[in-house]
Amino acid sequence: MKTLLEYLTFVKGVGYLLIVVYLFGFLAFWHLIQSTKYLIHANKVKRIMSVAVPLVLMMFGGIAVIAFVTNGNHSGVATPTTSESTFGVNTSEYLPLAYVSAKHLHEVMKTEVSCETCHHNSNGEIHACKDCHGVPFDPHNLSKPGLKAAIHERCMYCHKEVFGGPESCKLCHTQGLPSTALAINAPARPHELMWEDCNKCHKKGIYQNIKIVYHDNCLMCHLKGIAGAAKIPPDHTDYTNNVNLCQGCHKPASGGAKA
Amino acid sequence: MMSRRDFLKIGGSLLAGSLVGDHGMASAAKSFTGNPDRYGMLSDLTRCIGCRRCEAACNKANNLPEPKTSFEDESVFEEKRKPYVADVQAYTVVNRYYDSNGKPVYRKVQCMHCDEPACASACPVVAMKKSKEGPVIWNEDVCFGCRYCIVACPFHVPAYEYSNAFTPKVQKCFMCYHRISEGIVPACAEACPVEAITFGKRSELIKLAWTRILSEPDKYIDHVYGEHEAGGTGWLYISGVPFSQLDFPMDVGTTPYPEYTKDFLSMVGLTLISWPALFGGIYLMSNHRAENVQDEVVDSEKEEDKL
Repeated sequence: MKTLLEYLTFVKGVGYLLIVVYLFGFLAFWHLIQSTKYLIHANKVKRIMSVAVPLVLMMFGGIAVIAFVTNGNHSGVATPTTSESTFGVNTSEYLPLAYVSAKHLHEVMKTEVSCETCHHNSNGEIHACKDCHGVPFDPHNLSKPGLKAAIHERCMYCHKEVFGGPESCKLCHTQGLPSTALAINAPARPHELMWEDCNKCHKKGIYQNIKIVYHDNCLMCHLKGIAGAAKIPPDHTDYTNNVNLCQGCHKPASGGAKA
Repeated sequence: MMSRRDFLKIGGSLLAGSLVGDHGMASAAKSFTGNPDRYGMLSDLTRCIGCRRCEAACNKANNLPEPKTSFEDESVFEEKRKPYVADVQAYTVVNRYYDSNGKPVYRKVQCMHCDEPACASACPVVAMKKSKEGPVIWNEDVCFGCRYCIVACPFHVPAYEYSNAFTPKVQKCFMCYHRISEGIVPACAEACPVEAITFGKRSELIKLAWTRILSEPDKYIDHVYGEHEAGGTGWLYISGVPFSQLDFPMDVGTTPYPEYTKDFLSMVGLTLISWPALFGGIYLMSNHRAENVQDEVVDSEKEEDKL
């Protein structure tokens, strides 16, 4: 009985239950009339009607009110309650990119196209992809794709023909090729350096080996602790023999390059 | 005793009540606008590369059975698949078509999440329901397996788990309702490497769709499928190839499917209430009249006896 009650009230609301109750009531009323058919008396009918008619009207009125109140829910979408929150995107698994290093990619692309072909929509300034393409499905700017889509779309912009079907992914993404390099446990852009300041560190151009760039520039201050920089042990120069020293900045890579 | 006047009064008020009630319901249904912030999806078929990442992500997010062939298999494109029939147990599938130049065009198939869904209208127990967030969802606890929703859908999307003897489910895409309600983007949109699927508010997506069409009129055809189809759908498509060539149903019209049955169905409940009362009243009337005649006969007989 409890389940039936829950079922009826959950599905159609109280109004539905009232209709059911009313119908059962009507059956009972009908039965009463039938059973007194041969004994019927004017007063009896009057009494029955004086109870039944207001009851019916009240029931009907109640149902009408409830139907009117709950009508909004029946039509599907109810009141707007969804807040304007930014949707987070779970880090999805994707096949590691084993095509080229960023350095090599830039070297190759430089000979083919201008910088602005890829670094587009920024008035000629060169920004990193993720500076603009951070959040996918940004409610405030749906037309701007997230990082993953932005990079793919830039590739597709020219190489449309190589994109087609699941097999085509493997042209660039080769599965199960873990990177053996040690990632640097340091901010990607230390000291809040802006992309306009690239040549402060990349003195010999953007194609310079990143390893050399980091070691040349970071160690300049961090070896001697200049201007309060966290001091790296002085025998850091001996890092080729003492691997443990490297662990401060270098941690084992989780495998796979980030797009 | 009820006089003729009383009877007419009651009958009239019931009739009037039923008419007013009917009018109220009809006007409520016609003014349907839905939650203005409801979510939707925009599939840009010119962007889709057919990588089937959405299928893989959907399978994982919804704990669906493992497919017979991997999601890297291209041979599945040889036939036009439907979601969740026979051995294709997926909420979404990607099919390959070719445009006039012989270039492949991919179409993702899944529930359209209509603004006014035919399946929800057909459901006798409101197991199928348009959620306020946008997805058309299904309530397992209420469904009793009549499968009207499957028959009602103009896009032939919902399917029944015939292989499951004891707890069969109605299966279709639910736009990752469990993820949306947690504030996470649906799995297919998140997985799409080129954002061929854009997730957002439906109103914004329509703007985005038209912005893309108008900014590149040569690339797209001048139609957002789902903006008006079947009264508007939550899933929108834009394409460079006419939708009729991609097996999109072009005969669904622009009338919301519940509209076709609403006039009739809104009367059923009222008829159930008013007709028994009305005819009960008529019965009582005629019955009483017969009794009166009997009484009179008896009285006259008595009088005759006296004489």
